Amino acid sequence: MNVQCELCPKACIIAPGQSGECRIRVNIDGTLAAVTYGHPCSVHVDPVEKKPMYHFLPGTGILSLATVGCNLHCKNCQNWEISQENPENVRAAELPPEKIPALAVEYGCSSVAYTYSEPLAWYEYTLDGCIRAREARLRNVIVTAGYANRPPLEKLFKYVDGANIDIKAMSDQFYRDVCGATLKPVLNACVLAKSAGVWVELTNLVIPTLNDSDDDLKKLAQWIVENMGNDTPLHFSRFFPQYKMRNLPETPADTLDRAKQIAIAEGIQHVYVGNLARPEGNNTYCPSCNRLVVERRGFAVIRNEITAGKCPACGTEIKGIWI
Amino acid sequence: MDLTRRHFIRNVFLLLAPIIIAPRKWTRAIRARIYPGPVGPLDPAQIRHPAKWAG
Repeated sequence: MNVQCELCPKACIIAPGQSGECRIRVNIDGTLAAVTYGHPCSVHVDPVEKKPMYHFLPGTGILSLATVGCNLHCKNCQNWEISQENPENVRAAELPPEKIPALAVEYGCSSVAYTYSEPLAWYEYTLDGCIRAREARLRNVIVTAGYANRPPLEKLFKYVDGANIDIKAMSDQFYRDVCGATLKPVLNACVLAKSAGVWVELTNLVIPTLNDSDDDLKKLAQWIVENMGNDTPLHFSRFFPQYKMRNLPETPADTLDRAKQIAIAEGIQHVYVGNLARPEGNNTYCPSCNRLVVERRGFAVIRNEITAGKCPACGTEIKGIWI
Repeated sequence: MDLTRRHFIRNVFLLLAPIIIAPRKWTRAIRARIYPGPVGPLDPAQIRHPAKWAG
């Protein structure tokens, strides 16, 4: 008997023995099964800045894990070797959710990230991991494309502290052509996360000719200001040709500088540039007095002067999770 | 038109067909405990190092 997965807007109808588009939700004898549950293919301690999360426990390590699988199929995927692969072909380790907190503590981490591929595709593992980590007083971060239906997101967000959500473009056509998805559910997920009290940072990978026009960048910044607030950090990330998109050049540094200027002009307070060494691209400044409050070099925090969530000079609150 | 037994059965079938044929809907999947690919132990040396993956 066929089953229909209602986790994401794709609503895959899956025949016995087959999987949904994500490759990891499988119809086994008429039952939908999450076949990568408890079996991550990647477990690492990353700097939290690598997610990227810049307003979330800066300078700390975060236990980061992923199973294979993703419900999007971006032609430019940076992690396609795990996101677009069948579990049969990727070696995994056994790490049930109940063992995640102890592993995080063993490696000196106060938070856990569900990242690299698509944690919403391996939803049950992400959810149970978040619940177990929360019970152990650890924080949870998801790094996601945000493509899922509202009910499962509502349930998950109760246990998530921070999220980096990738808005790939402000064009539905881009989502359809490049990612095999649609825009609206992603924007809805961003708003839902914010309204659920999750600390949200947004990422936009700037790809030459596809989403790098002034109009594209302005639309993105305006939507963020109107729907997420101008204190939501925005990370512009540099594209490198890979996977099925090798016909385009890497993003010029000037384009990223232009993106940053446009976002700032639209009122976004914290705009960062990633995948590119820029002397001031990764620092955090007070939005009121412009004092340097967190200095970074790459993913390393050189100094963090934020005191009780405020600028030490003028006392303005800097939004984020700092302790 | 009188409702014959034949028509009655046909109508009942048409009414129930979507329920019988429609796939069962699942939002949350069951947690499979058997991974379909190769499984090995966690590697502590790898865990200590940042991943090569983005994110």
